[in-house]
Amino acid sequence: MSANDDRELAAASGSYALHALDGQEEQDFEALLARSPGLRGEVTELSDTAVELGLAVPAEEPPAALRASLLAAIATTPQLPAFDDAQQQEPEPTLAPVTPIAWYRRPVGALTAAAAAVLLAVGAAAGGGAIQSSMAASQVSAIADAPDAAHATTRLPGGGTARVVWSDELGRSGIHMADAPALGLDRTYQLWYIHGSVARPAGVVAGAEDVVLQGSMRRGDVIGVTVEPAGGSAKPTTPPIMTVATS
Amino acid sequence: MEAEGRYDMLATVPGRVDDVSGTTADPTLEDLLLQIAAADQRAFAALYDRTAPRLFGLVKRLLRDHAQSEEVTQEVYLEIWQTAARYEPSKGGAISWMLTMAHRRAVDRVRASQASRDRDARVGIRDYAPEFDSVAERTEIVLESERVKTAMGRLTELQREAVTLAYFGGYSHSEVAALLRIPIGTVKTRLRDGMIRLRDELGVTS
Repeated sequence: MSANDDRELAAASGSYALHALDGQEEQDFEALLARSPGLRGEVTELSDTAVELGLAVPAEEPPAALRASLLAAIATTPQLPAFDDAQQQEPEPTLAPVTPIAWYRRPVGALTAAAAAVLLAVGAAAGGGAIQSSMAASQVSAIADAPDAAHATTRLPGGGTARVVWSDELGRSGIHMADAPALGLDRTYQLWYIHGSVARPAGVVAGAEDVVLQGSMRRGDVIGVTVEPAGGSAKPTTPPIMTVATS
Repeated sequence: MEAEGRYDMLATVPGRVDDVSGTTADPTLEDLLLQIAAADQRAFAALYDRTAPRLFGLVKRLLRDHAQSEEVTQEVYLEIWQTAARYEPSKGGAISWMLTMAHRRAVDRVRASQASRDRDARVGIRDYAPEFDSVAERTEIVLESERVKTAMGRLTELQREAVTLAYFGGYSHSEVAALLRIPIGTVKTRLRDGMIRLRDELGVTS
């Protein structure tokens, strides 16, 4: 990248601090930031300035149910270690008792027996095992090429991003996770189609690979990812680390 | 989605809303994050109680929709729980870390959801029938800090409009460019100049 390009990119420091850059440009900016100590100072100050704007927004009490749901959720949500400190003791994964927790605002327990049966049937029909990733990559491209294809990229809490592409017409979606934290052998990322309080399992994903979600996407589905015990779960046992609304 | 333009709905909520720094008797938010990093669930509850109205208020300012704001607030607090060990006090206060995360997630949601498509459609319509009034109306925001209000007042109107659309509206700079019918480069300049001005007015130093 030329010095001119760098200068032009550096002029986006205000946009960056306001989270106003579009995906690729944000990545370019962060790459520049990594090699420009001078720019880092400016960005830190402008980001702190953005926080001042945030603090000026009138506060609003969230519903009490949110607090209850969160406190239940953290009891079963594993924590991530600090970045580059190998000596730091890894927190014990607290996944063991696999109890369904509040899913969004409604408990999974609200699932009717009939809905649960449908959910299991869908899971069984879709359970074809792992797909060869090269094949999956071309299937993901096929979804991306659909006339009504849409996509969204979102950041993952532990670092990395997930790019989701979907087509209502095809009723299919795919995901590509980049730089997602490795989970170890006992846990896996699991994909879900979520509609209201019902989450349909849509396969598991190891990390950086293109994966087509299993089963069909219905209009209005939310695509979500949770961390589950290895092999995946029939229903989510942890809150989603990311969600993307497809409509 | 809820209707556009309901800016008056965010009335100030009385109570512990300004308790982001804590009193001398309480642990600081930074202390709480340290405890949370060691899986202390009570510390998490305390942190939540002291900061949730702040974060929820900001998220809702961007998303407007109550249910979506709850979901995003939940995601943010789960991220706080999961990544508390990665908070570095040397890089800034706990509330900065948390609010930055909340803004980021709210922006991601706004761009990923129907809200964003509706907004794109409106941006398209405005290309044919520009109504500057409605842009101006969007940039009317309720701020409860006199200091920040005064600082915002020192910006040029064009800077203020761009900063407001980006930060409080969650618009990307290309969306701001389309809304205001100006080149992206101009938006970048306004955002940077505006933020530098605000930084100086507010006396923010790193």
